[in-house]
Amino acid sequence: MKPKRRDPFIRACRALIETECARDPRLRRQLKKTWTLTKIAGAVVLTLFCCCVFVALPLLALSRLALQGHEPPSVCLYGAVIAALWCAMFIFIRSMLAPRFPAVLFHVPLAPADYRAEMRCHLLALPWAFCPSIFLLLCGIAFFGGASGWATVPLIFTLAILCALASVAAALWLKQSTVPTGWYFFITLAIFVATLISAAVEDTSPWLFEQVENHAEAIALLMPGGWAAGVLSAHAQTFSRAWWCALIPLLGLSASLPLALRRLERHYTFERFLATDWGCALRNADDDDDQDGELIDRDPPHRPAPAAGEPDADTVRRHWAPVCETSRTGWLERLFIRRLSPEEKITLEHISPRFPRWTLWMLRALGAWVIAVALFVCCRNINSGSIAYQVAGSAMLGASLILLAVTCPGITDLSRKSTCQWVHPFPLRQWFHIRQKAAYIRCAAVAPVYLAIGGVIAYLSHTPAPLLVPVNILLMTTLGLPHLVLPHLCLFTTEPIACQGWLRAGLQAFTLIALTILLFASSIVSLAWITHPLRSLLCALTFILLCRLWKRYSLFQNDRGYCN
Amino acid sequence: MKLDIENLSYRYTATPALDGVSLSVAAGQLVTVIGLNGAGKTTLLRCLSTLTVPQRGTIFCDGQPLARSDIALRRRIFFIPDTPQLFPDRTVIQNLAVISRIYGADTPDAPERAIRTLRELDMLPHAYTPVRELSRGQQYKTALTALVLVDADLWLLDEPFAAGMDPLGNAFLRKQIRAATARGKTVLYTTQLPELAEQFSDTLAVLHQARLCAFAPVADITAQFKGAPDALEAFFQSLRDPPQ
Repeated sequence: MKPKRRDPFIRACRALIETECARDPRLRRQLKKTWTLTKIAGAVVLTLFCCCVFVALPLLALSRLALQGHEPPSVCLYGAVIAALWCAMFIFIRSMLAPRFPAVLFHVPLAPADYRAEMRCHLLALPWAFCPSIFLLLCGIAFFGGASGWATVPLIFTLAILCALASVAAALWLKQSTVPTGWYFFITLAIFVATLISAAVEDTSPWLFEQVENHAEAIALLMPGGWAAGVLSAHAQTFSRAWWCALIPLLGLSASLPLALRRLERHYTFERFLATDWGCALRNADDDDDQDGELIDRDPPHRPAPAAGEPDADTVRRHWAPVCETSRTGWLERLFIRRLSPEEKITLEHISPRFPRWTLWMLRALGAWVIAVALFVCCRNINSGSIAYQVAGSAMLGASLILLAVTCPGITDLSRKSTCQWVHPFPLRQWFHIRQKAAYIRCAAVAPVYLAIGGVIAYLSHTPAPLLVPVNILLMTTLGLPHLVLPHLCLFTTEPIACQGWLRAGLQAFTLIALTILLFASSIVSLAWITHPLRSLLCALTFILLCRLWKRYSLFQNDRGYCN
Repeated sequence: MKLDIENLSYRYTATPALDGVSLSVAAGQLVTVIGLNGAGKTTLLRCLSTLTVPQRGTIFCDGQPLARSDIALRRRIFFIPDTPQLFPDRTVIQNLAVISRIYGADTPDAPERAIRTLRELDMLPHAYTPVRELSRGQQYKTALTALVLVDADLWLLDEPFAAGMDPLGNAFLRKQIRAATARGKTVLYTTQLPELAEQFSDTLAVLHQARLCAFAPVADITAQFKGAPDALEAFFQSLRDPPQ
């Protein structure tokens, strides 16, 4: 639903505003300020991305930092595939579920066919979401084209698309929380860079690559589920074996897609609209306004009325404030509650929308890690280095995903500022302390377990990736949304407590600057072996082209003329 | 636009929101829909804007049955909910461009009218600001500009005077509504403010517990409470606590 670029209405409005500005310099200043701020906010992520990739490249090409080790195309492409996965998941969710686009569409008089076309366009957020990941794929291919061979390109693309689709369907089904687009870019870049770092370690590459017969196999084996495909296709030809890897994402897609569609059908009005006749559609279009996508259960279970003079059963059971019901929580949560003062408990009861489930998530993560390590050990005994390598790759993926899974639910549950916090006079300092305690307990519980198991995997697989990928993600999280990871790093938030005292602000700024330097240093190291200026130029051109395509064929494109 | 509502009923799973509501509004009439919370005011407006399909009953606009599939008829109706529905990632100007195009109001003089309205509402400095960055009142002003631009035959406004607009914005809205009714446009708006309903309406539609209790000029409704200091408030009191 984007107006045409040369829309006569907008052109005429601009001309009229220019005339107004000529009369009123103050208006010109105001408009210029708004325009500049919007552009800067929109361009900041892109600028960072370009700086990371393109400014670093020529500098490195001129320097003597370049490593002349073995080229690791598969690791690079693996990074791209993972990036594609995250890219699709985050942007799809962001574009489709977060904005009020379907709800807005219901309020304007669109014909059924136009509405369907708009929604189809909206659903096709994937082309847009794929752009950066395709760029990363091309980047990898351009950098390492000679080594990996162009024959692997269709394979990589198929796998990337399948993986991304599967992840989108799964994410939709699981109803992940929404993430800002800029934040996605950070994660994508972090994962990509982290994978490159792991590949850049010269000592690990020969060990990794001597185990596989060619690059196609290496790429395939690094894919999620590559190890399973390896086992299934033990007697197949080496290259065709690589295609077996598509099996796992395909299975994932076929399993999660019906569930995702069912969820859509149940919870989102536009799906109900598509499934029913236009005339009797939409009993309630504003269901889409519910950002969580949850329908309010308008048929609550019938409860017997309390006898006169007796309190309601819900009141007795404290259903109105179930957050501190420790009987239904895990040990981490209980430990957290024990550390709270009575006043803080009351604040938590009133402010927190629901109680976090850290223990559950941590146990799940632990289970996944144990399975990954066990598989790795088992496969190592088969005397097939490639199988062990696959498991290492899978574990690497698993570790990164699990870390996010462990961290995010805990973070979002207690860091999101609820409306209550602002409406009722709860002391901010108290809330700050609650969040701080929650973060410390969570970090203290998760970090040793993660480091131990990640260390084991790293040691066994001779690659630092299992440690580097999540660490980089954590680093990016800290940079992007510091108050989520470390509550006292509230530099970017608007909370009054964040602005108390120049010392606190100075420390925060120093920490953030240090983290930024660390991040850029790691990026430079990881890009160190990309030395060819022509390849860099090719990447830059590809990126610009993709950006243009992205803008041209992105969401809300509306040239169908249905309004005429 | 002449509006005829016949036996309109709508029920949320357990609660009736509208129960056999029938009324007739002439073209150029200003109708204030008033009622206690949960009386069905917003549901009535949503039915009229085809966002909600009534389970029973029919709505006729100029004798034509209102249906969601009738795009030409829907383009003559403009509904502003309490939270304006605009494209949040687009700027004010872009929103106006899209809306005017959808409603077929992108005439050559539309840009000039848009800029004039924006200027009157003090929205010109925000012309290039994405709507998501505007306050609620400013978003409402954007929607109001779109409404003035489209100049639909039926204006449906949900709580327009409690939408966060400043006094000048409210005054502008009142002026526009009066001008619209003078041009033969029909305006229905909901409110919870008895004083406003008394002063700013031709006809009052009082909804109570999903039913239409009264549909008449304010003076007729409050005639029996003439002695009371606040006649309309006394009327609502009598609805809530009916005399035995």
